[in-house]
Amino acid sequence: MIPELGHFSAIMGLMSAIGVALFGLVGAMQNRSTWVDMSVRLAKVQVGVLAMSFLLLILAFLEDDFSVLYVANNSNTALPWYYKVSAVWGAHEGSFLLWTLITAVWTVLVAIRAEHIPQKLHGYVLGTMGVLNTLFLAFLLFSSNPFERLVPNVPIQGADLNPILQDIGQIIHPPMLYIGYVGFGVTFAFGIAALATGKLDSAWARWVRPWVNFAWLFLTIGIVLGSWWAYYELGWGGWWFWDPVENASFMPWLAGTALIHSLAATEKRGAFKNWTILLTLLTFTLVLMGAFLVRSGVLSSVHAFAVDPQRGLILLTILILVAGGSLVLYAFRAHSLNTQVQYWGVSRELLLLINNALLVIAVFTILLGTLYPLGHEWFVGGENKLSVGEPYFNTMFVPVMLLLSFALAIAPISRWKHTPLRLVRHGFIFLGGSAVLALLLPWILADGIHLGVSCAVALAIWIIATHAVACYRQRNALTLGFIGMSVAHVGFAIAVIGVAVTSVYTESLDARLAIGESIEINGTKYELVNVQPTETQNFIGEQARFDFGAGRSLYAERRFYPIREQITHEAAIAPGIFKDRYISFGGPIDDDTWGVMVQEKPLVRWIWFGAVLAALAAVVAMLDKRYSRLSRRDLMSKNS
Amino acid sequence: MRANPKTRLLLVTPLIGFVILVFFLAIGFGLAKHQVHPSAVLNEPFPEFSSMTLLSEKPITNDDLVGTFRLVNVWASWCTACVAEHDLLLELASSEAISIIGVNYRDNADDAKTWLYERGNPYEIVIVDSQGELCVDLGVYGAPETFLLDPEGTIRAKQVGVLTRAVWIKEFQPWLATRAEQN
Repeated sequence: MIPELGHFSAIMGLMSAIGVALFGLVGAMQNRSTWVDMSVRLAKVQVGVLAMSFLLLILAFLEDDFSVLYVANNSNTALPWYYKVSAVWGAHEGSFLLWTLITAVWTVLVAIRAEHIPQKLHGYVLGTMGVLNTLFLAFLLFSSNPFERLVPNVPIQGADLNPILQDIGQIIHPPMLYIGYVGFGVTFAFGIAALATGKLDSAWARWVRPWVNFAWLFLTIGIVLGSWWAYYELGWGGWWFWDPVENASFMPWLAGTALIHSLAATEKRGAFKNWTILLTLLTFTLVLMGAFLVRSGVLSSVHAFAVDPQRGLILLTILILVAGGSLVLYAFRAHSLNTQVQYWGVSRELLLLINNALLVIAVFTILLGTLYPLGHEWFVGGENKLSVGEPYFNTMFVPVMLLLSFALAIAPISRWKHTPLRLVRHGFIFLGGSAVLALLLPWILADGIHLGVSCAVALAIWIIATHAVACYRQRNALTLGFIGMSVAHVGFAIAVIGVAVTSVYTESLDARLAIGESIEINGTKYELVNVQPTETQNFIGEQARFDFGAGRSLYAERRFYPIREQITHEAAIAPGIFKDRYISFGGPIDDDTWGVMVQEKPLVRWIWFGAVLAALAAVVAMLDKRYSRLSRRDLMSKNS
Repeated sequence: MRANPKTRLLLVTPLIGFVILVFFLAIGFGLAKHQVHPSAVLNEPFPEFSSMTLLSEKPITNDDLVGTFRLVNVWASWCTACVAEHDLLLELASSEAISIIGVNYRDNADDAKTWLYERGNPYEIVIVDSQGELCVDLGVYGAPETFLLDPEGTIRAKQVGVLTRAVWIKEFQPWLATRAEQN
């Protein structure tokens, strides 16, 4: 009964989504305020029924209802209750139900929070959100129904949740990502609304900016969590693999970052209007393309969900309808939005343009690398020298990021329209100082000079210096917007330092150790003290104790999950601000020796710290007064 | 504001780009349906190929691989993850546990030789696959990947990613043991 109720709620969700779309779009086109109000009301209904549906699926997991196919495939009675809950979004069907619920939540937020914006715009935004969720829910109900029954042969036990997903990072990582992804659906809807109304002014930009920041914040956190999870759970200390699924989340992130910056120019100077609209469309297109790549089985990946040709076809259709349709609208309507804006020399507009160009280049570089295997398979035998994998991505991506860092460092001291040369010259004085500091780095790390790392660190220090100086100069007139920007850029600089140093200066040793033997890295001895058996209700394992330094211990574990016959490695990590000690414990080699890998990873934590700092900065910028004051002021402009 | 033809063209560009993108996705999707699946190469004969060896620069074909159990390891000097499994390969080679064949995937020959010189060479033979053709037939997605060949030249086990001790013991070693029992 419970699964049927859940299924019914999801169908109600589809009905209300169709209603949100129809009432919103028609209300906007014909200027009928009662219709737009109806759309708002249906958005509330939609979120209610989808939340109900989602809760009922959770209930089916908690009750171990293995008559439901999805529960039987992804849960087990031995699973602790919190993993039963997270197993709901551990595979395709349930995670997509969560996706539609999140779309409904965003829709209702837009319905309520944006009530003060002009009714026509409001109707188009809501209507577009309704169309999106109609497509998502139709896809869910017709080809990915999580409530499908497995009768009459109901299994007594489930197949269990994939052990590598049995982890706190995996409980929160997917919801964060989805909130970010669908958040860019809101900016997409604003883009469509601007094209439909043919009006794009600085008020429009001011309405969109908090939503972009909001979406970007969650996407950033989602990506950081994914990277952090890969670091400690996959067990060999990597934090980014250029895996197609990682790329699928990274491309919209880069496009979204470009959008944040282009919106700044659109709001303050009325510049780049067409381009801003295009970015709202592009970002969400990349989101949908990512969903297609991950869920259709086109690209094999450690993350890929179960392959089903029908699913891929429907997702491709959604992509063509949404992205193709919006780009057609763009091609015919965008010209009406353009305005001419004057700027010259090293102006802030120019820097934002450079920023956007570089970020979009980065997006297309990754897109090319991700889709290359598809093209290669098609044109087999071609004389292709391009190789896909880390070398391609690193050689293409790193220079783009260094150029971006360069533009970033001048950003805070630049002015709109035109920057006096005196200010630019001041900026370059700091570059010299930063370069000297960066060259001292090898002495601190007690290792050789690496030119690439020194460049990256010099640029990063320069970024931090120019932002600190800019904030100090404006200390009497600092806005939260400016603070947010500065903190985000400093976060970026910190992450750059982390990436550069950790990639080059990580020390790693592999050995076979017996009890009492030790391995030495950078003068620290790691001794294998003992190996103890461990056991819980859903796995058995071996835990190794390592002692190092003055009486410090670390525990690394190797687990065997009998239900899925899968082995996982729980690395032992001693985190530190300046370096992580990372021990992976392999299996036994013979009766009394074990395989062990020890790594010392300097500044690895800076990567995530920098990214989280940037995410928090997005919140700071959102709190800027000009977003909260706008309701009254804009109401006045709406009446005039 | 009226748009001039140049602006018009500019505004249609994203749409054209998208059409090309969809074309590629559709192709990929068409291929995905009858693609070599990771497990599809299991229990199949090693694909036919003819290439050169890296160090002695002699011709080599799939016929040269039969006769004994062999580990076929796909690696490259640009592959950072390959370093992680290298010590295990060296150990297997020095203990004569198994014959190891390297497939040097999309690499520069000089870089590959330097890499082996600096880190030690666990490979009995290294097959040059500079265009990645053999690896396409093997369904390789990226380096490293490792295959176990039985004496008849059939692929018996496969590891995508770093070969760890655990995988070696659990997935690969049992095959050697069963054959030893039969003899």
